[in-house]
Amino acid sequence: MQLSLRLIILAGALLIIATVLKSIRKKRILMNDATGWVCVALLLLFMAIFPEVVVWISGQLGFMSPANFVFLVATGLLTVKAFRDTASISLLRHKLEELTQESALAQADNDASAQGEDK
Amino acid sequence: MNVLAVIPAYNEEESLASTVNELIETCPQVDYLVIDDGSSDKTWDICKQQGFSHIHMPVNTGLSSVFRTGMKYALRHDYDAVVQLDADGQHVPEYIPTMARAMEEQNADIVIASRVLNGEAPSGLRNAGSKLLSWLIKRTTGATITDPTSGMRLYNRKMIEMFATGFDVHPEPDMVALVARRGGRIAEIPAHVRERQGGESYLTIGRSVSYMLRTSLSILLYQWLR
Repeated sequence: MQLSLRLIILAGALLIIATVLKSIRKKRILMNDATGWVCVALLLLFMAIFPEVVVWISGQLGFMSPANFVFLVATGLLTVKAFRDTASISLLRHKLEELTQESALAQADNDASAQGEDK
Repeated sequence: MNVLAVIPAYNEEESLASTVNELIETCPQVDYLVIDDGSSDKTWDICKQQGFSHIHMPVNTGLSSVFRTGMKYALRHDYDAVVQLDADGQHVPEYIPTMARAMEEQNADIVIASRVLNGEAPSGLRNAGSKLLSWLIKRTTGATITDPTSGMRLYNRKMIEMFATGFDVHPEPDMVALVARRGGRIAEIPAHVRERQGGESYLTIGRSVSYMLRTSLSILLYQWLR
């Protein structure tokens, strides 16, 4: 694996870790959501520090170059992350609709009972 | 001491009624609040039929949100302490007065009902996980907590405020560690915990492993960041 690629991965991993830690400290992300990103950064860090492992796996799988394998891993991780984000946004949308409906109905009940008291 | 038992209930139709009735019989001086976390079974109906003091969440929001709802309720109604009591019947309400006494005598912020102090450590993998968390908490905060994953914890007024108003707080071992790290006092009393009386456990093996990883990482990150 080229030194330049290793350095870029290393820089990327450190940047992710710094961003995540800063977000946790500034209360911009829940710990539960942050831990996954820390794991991703640690994986990148591992690939940058121990390239021989990456070279060996990519050789075993028949890749032309270890760089291709690294890109595939990154794309794979991003795809999984994108799907999970979509799924959680779907659920959030559903819950938001439910909450809005419940809140509207509760408001209507309140108004009806207030009118009943007026009469 | 004015204690409120918060009973989170998600699909607990099988065991909820016996849990609440046992609490009412054994600890009539303790108030309680069942919080139905948008259950899809008859949990809400049971609360209404039996006349239990309860709150119903219109959508399922998860344990920590439910628990924080209970803490907000406790803050608004001026309780001195809140104990978390599982609806599945695992927690024995008889221990609540003992926990409250320990809180007063030891001036504790959190009192944990510890299975380990009672000589009934969970077996196998679960025990290993619990030991790992104990060790991590000891190393990072200096506090000795024999049963960090016990869900039966009594929280004092300061903790009620923290849970009701804080950001990213949840009733889990990493929060106990954070409180200890900030100089809070954690006490434990020996307690027996029963097998669950109905329903299914949330923790499968995959979830347990990911729970352990997240909790450990979280304890370490809190150590450096907060």
